[in-house]
Amino acid sequence: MENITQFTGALTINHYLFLSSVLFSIGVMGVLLRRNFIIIFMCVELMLNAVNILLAAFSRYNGNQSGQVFVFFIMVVAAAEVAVGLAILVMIFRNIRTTDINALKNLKW
Amino acid sequence: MTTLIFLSLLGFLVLFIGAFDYKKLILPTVIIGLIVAFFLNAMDWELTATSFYGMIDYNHYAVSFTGLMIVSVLLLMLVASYHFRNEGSHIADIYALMIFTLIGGLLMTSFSNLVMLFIGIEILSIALYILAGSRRLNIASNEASLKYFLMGAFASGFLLFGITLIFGVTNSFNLAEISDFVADTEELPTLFSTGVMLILIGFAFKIGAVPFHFWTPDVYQGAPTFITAFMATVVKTAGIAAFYRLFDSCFSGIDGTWFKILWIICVATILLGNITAVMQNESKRMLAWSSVSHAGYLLIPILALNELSSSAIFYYSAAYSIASITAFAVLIGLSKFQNDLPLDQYKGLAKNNPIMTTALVVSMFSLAGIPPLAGFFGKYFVFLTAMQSGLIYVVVIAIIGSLIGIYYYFKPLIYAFNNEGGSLEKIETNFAFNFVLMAGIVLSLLLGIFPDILRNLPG
Amino acid sequence: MNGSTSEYLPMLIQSVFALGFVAMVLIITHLIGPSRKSAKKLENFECGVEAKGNARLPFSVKYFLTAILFVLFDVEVIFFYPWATNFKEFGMDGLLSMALFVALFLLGFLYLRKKQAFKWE
Repeated sequence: MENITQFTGALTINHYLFLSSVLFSIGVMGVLLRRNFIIIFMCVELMLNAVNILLAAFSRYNGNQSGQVFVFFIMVVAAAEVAVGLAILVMIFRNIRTTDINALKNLKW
Repeated sequence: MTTLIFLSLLGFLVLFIGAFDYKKLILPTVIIGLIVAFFLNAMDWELTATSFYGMIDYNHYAVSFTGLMIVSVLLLMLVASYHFRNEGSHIADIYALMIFTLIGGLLMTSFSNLVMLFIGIEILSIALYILAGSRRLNIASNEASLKYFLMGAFASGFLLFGITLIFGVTNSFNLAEISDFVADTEELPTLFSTGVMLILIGFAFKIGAVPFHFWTPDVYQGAPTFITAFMATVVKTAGIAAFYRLFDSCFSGIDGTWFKILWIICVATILLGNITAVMQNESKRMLAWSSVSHAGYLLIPILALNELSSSAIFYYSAAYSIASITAFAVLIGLSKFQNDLPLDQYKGLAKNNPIMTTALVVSMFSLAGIPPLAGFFGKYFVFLTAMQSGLIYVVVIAIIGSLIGIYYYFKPLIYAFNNEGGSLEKIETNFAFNFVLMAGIVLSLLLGIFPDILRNLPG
Repeated sequence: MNGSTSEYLPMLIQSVFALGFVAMVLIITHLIGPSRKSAKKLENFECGVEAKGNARLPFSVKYFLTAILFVLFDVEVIFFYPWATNFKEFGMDGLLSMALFVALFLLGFLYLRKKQAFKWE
């Protein structure tokens, strides 16, 4: 137990910044490269959760609670987005029977 | 402030009227409700204090933009009642979602805290994802909905990361405190400018500026036509208003970090939007690309950021919204329900449909910026703002862009007055639809002849 | 030592209540529910899906709708945490605000009921 507190005490804000930047970038790359829309969707969630980690870390670091309250708002909004997004997916799946994004290329410039 | 509460209750009321199947009551409730909301909003003109524990600052800027959005939504509701005249089932839900979108837009114009900005954007966007896909069985509409959803969520991610970095540096979400921090700090840390860049990218996505515009034409074409009109007017107005409010109140002192990038975005948006619009053969796509180019013009006052900016943005948004709503209304009158609307379907419109033709002419002239219509003075004020800050190159490029614009805005008109191969039958319209067309014509002319009635509102 | 033991008293009361509630529900459902014993009834219950066989069965969309609605209502509980931790400071005003907050959810719930989102068939 003591080891863990010592270890976490050695973590600076830069570690959190690095962690969340990496997670955020993984999310961005996933959205850009993946072709299955459920996975794209999960990558968007990953981006939002990377932001949540950073907000919580900043909030603790600055001693300002409002960051943590903002995390709650992000989580709730993300849940609402999940609900709408999944509803859209179900609607599309009923019409075209696949979750591959390449099937949707009726609209092209 | 009361407008916010009133509109939320109105949204719920409409949902329940729809759920209990009182079809006759829906449209009157919505219209009376919006008119009441407009007056409630106007009554807040003198209110200058912040409300909701400093979360919202309902100043003149917010009141004017909210009024503009309420009027646009009102006109669009009337168009929608014509659009859905034969289709009853989900109309109440669609109206309610439009009202919720308006609430999001209201928050986006009146926020004084970044949390409220985020919540406003999300209320607006989440309702729009559903509206874009409101024709469930149409694959194009589904596709538009999905693309808009993925892009919107992606953009929110960037915006949030930017907000987080700014919170980390300044230790506050409050606009006034952030602005104090910027003023007091000699050398801002890199994290702060990274945050500003990420917010800039998020906003560029939301308003569809080049190079983050690629979703716009697809979504605009796939969505039901009156939702496209909604996205091109109310949503764009709200996005630009929020963009300006944030950058004016917080980041105006540090334009070194974002000025060059916004310059490139702005110029690229104007040029690419106009040039690509020339090549379109489909009406909705053409209007979509034209709306991309108008986003570019609307970015110029943000780039200039002087005391003329807010009035230029407001006047331009008003002129553009009214002209776009009229143009889309004509398109809805022509199209019934199909998604592919080739430009030549305007052919022979002029002979039997005088009101629609006049509306088409006025809206296209206004969008192209031909005097004495509102669109011309919109562009004039925008260029004036830019000149005051010495942005001569931007003005030159924007003028070249508008000259290209005149070419493609005349295409539908040429078709409309071309009677070879027979003219169109008289199109059946109803009172609400004609009212919108007349209102569009009158407002475009009125704003053009007396530009000062709206110009100085935001202060 | 004595002082710290009394600090645990609320936790004891909480535990008694929690256990008591579980026991009560178990007993009451046993008493008032109809009891049938058939082979199907005695199988493991796995959310209505066959417990044995291929795991990659297509789900019925009805589950999806229920799950989405559950997530929506469930996540809003998060806003109770800041209120609950400052319950005393907020006092009556806070309670009324929370009541308003919950009332809005009740409206949403009534809307869903009216739209027959909970009807299984």
